[in-house]
Amino acid sequence: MTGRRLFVVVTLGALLSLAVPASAVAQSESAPTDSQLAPPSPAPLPIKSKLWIVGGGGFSMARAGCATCDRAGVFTNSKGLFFDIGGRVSARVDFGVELMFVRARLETVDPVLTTFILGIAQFRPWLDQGLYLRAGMGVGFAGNGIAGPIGELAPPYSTNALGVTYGLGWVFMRDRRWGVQANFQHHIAAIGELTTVTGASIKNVVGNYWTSGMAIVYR
Amino acid sequence: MARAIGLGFGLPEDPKASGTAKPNRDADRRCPGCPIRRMFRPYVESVWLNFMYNGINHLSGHPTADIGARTIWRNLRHGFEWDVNPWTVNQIGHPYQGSNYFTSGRAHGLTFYESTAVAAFGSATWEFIFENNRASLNDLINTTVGGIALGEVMHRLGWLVRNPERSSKGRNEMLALAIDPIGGLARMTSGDSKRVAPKPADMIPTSVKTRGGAGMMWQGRTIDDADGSARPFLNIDVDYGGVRTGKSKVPFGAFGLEFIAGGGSPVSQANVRGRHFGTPFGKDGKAQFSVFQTFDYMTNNAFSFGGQGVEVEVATKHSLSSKTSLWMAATGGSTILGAVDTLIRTPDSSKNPELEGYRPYDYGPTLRFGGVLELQRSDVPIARLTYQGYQLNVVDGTRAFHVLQRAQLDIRIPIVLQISLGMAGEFFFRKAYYWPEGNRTAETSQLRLFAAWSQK
Repeated sequence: MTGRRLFVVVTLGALLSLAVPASAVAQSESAPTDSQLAPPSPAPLPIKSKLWIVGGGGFSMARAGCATCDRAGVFTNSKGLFFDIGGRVSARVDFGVELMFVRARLETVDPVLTTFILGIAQFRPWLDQGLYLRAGMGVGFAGNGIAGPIGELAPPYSTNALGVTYGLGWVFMRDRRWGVQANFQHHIAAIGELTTVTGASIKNVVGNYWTSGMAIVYR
Repeated sequence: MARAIGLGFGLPEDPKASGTAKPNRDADRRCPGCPIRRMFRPYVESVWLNFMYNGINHLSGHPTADIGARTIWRNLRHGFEWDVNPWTVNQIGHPYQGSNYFTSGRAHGLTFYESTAVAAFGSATWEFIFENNRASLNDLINTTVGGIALGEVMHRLGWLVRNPERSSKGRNEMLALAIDPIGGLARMTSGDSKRVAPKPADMIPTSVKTRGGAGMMWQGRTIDDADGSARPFLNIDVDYGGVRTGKSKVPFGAFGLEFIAGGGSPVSQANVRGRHFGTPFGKDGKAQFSVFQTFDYMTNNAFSFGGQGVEVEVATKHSLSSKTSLWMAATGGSTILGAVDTLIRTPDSSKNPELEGYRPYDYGPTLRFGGVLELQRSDVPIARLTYQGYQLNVVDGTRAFHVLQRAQLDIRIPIVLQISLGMAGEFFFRKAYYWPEGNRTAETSQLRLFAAWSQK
């Protein structure tokens, strides 16, 4: 199975997993269960912890392009790792910081690592369902970091960093604190000028990274 | 399917259960004067708006207007790039388009934050589906974030002029339609424009102060330069809700708007600062801490800058005498994506046919910083010294840091009632640190003489 097929399969799997809870809800609505016949249970205890931690990974498809590059860009199949830490600001909204690592290739033989450090907001439209939507913004740089006036970097490195992300997913809470999530995310990195391992520089590089994966959730 | 989705959004299980042909939806209003809350309609309207804008592009022969399944698939597959649209299209046109999506959400009873999702949806669908060129990252940010800022201002100004408690209110509704077209159309098509009901409480500001002026403007680096450069201008400042005082978490419950037309370009300045959070602090609550969402647009002979961001303001007021006081503020923050005109033409653009549509301005995240000293007499500003700086780090364009600075002294001499004579001197300075091309600078001065009026 090629990397791209694997990415498609994982993406479809993630999307199907989003559909499962909806059908489960539909089935549960068709016939009343014991719990529905029983007197209404007291409201669940409020969650005391405001901490929110997520860690996971997935299959990524990356495309890097630039103004003077081949219009089709260069696609790379890769794996992404991400960690989120933050807090709950309301019943529906979490704010936090995301660290994401993923590789992409741009007219070089070896894929270049891209690192994102992003502020993110996650929104749950329904309190009793696991669906969430998210968006964030911060920095995204390639290779060994961002070129600056202090110190010298070994190539590959980028000159600038603007990172944007959005995505959606579904959280399956296993108990009050722990759960797993299936997610689909699109990260975009405006990494300015990329200096490759050969020393050549490519201007105005934009990387797009689509990641389908799973993660462990603690809240 | 639609019913299942509707249930998910908390809509009634059977809207026709009452047995009437047209169900009474008043229960879906947050207040008697509020619009009926419709979760899906803004998204549908956003798609229609995209069809409309695509049709306009078709009629004007825009090369990006021809779309089809192949262009959509290609755009989805390739992700985001940067575009080369003209300055006003990206810095004013796209935020205005985004405001249409956003105000559609507000017009159908969605909250500020719910409407931000509509702006993002409208912007993303436009980029991926309704243009045949690759989706543009700068457009996504300009349209969404700029659209939110402009949209909420339009929504609130529209409600400011509406008077829904009157039975004959056509003129007010038409004026509101001009300010907030999507909100006005929604009221007309739903029949709300003819409905008599109290104005929504959250659309009634605690105060509204407007200041305007009209006069002549001279620009140039020296007096000789400025000689013969006189141009007319018109400016309007609005303080909606009192941005300098009070405790609030209501997004744009207070905002400031500065607008200057003329002086060398149709719009030479348009700034919006919408407050998301404000609280007094310190001894007797004399100091104020506020968080603002910002929208900037300015063009002058030294630089053109546009962007959308967030800034924090710390301010305090000191009494100098029984009638005179000094208001001081320091601001700092970030512009998510700023745009600045470049001082260097990319050498490749003349050789590479792909760069024919070369964009003469660059993009990058920006730091912003500034301060204000304002002398007040009986709470009326008579002199104001303002400094505003931006430091833009280019992520698309010629590799550089741009430092942009603006200092302004504005003096008003009261003449009679609310009329005063005003003079404003401004100095614009920029330094661009290009590498390897080296540093470049540009500067200009500006003098404005005008008659001004103010209204509380």
